[in-house]
Amino acid sequence: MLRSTTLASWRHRSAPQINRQRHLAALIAEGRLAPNAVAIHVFGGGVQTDDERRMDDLGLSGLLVKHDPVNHATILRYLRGADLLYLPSGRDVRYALPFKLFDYLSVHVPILAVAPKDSAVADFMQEVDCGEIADIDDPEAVRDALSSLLLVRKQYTFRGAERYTWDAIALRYMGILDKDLVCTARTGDVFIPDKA
Amino acid sequence: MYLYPIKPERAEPRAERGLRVCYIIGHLRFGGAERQVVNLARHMTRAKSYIVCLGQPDRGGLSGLLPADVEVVWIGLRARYAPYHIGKLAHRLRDIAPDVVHTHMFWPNVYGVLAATLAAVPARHRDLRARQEPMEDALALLCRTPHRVAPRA
Repeated sequence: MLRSTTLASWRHRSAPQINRQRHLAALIAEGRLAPNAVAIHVFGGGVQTDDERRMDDLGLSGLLVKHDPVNHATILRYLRGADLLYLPSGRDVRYALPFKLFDYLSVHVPILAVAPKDSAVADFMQEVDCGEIADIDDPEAVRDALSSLLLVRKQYTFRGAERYTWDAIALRYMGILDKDLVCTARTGDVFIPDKA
Repeated sequence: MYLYPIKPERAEPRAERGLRVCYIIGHLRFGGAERQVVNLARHMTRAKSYIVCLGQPDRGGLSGLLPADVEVVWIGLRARYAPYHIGKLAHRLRDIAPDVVHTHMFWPNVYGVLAATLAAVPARHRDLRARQEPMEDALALLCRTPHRVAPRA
C-alpha cells in the first residue's frame, strides 16, 4: 500500500479540475489507495464554495489541506516531498504549457498530465520522459495513468528536461529578439526616430 | 514623426550598452503571464530588463522574486483618462528607450502597443492569448505589432 502521496497545487482548483479528482476517489473506494495516503494541498487564495461542495460530494474533503500563501522555496519543498505532481491543461489553451510545469521539472518528481491529445502538454510529455499523459476526454485513461504512477512506481529518466529550464528558455527568447532586430543588432546601429 | 522620440543620451550603440527589453503588464501579484515576465526578466542575462505595470504598486507577490537590476515602473492607469495615460506611458518608454517592448494581456496590449508606437520603439510584440479580441487585433495590425506565443522548444 502506498504511503504519503501528495498532489500539490499553486492556487485553488477550478471546477473541472476538482471533478477529475473522482478518479482518486475511485481508487480509494476500491481499497487500492489508503485514504490517509493522499493529500490535496491548496496554497493561498482559499477554496471556492462550489469546489468545496464538489469535494464533499466525492468524499474527498478530508484530503484537503489549506495553507496561507507561502514563498516559492516552500512550494518547491512540498513538490519535492510528493510522489506525483498533477498537471491539468484545458481544451481552450491547447497551445500553452502551464507555468507550474517548470517547477515540476526542477524537482524531478513524476508528473501526471491530463490534457487534450493535440496539445502542447501532450507533445511535451512525448518529448520528455517524466511521467504519464492521459487524454482529458478519456476518464479510463486518467484512471489507468493514475494507477500506473501510484501503484507500479515506474522510474523516469527526465531526459530532455534540461531544454525546459528558464535559462534555456531565456536563451531561445533572446534568439527570437535578435532575429527580429537582426539589421540593427548585427551592425550595432541604433534606431533613430524621425525628428521632423 | 513621433510624439515621443527617444532621448539622444539614451540612443548610444546597442553593441556597447546591450539589449533593452521592456515588458508591459497589468500587475505582478500572481498569474501565468506575470510569472512568465518575472522568470524571463530573471534569466535574461544578456539584456537589461524593465517591467512597466499598469496598476497600483503591489506589495509582495511575484515582484519579490525579481533581482535588483530589473527596474519596475508603476503607472496607475485608468480607462477614464486613457489618452493622458497612454501619453504618460509613451513618455516613460522614451526615458527607458527599449529596443523591444513585449506586452501581455488585453489592456497592456492595447495601451502598450499604442504607447510603443508613439515612442517609436523598434520592435513590439504582444502575447497570443486563448481568446483574441478583434479590437486588440485591429490595433496591433494598425501598429504593425506581431503576436508571439511563449517561447517553446
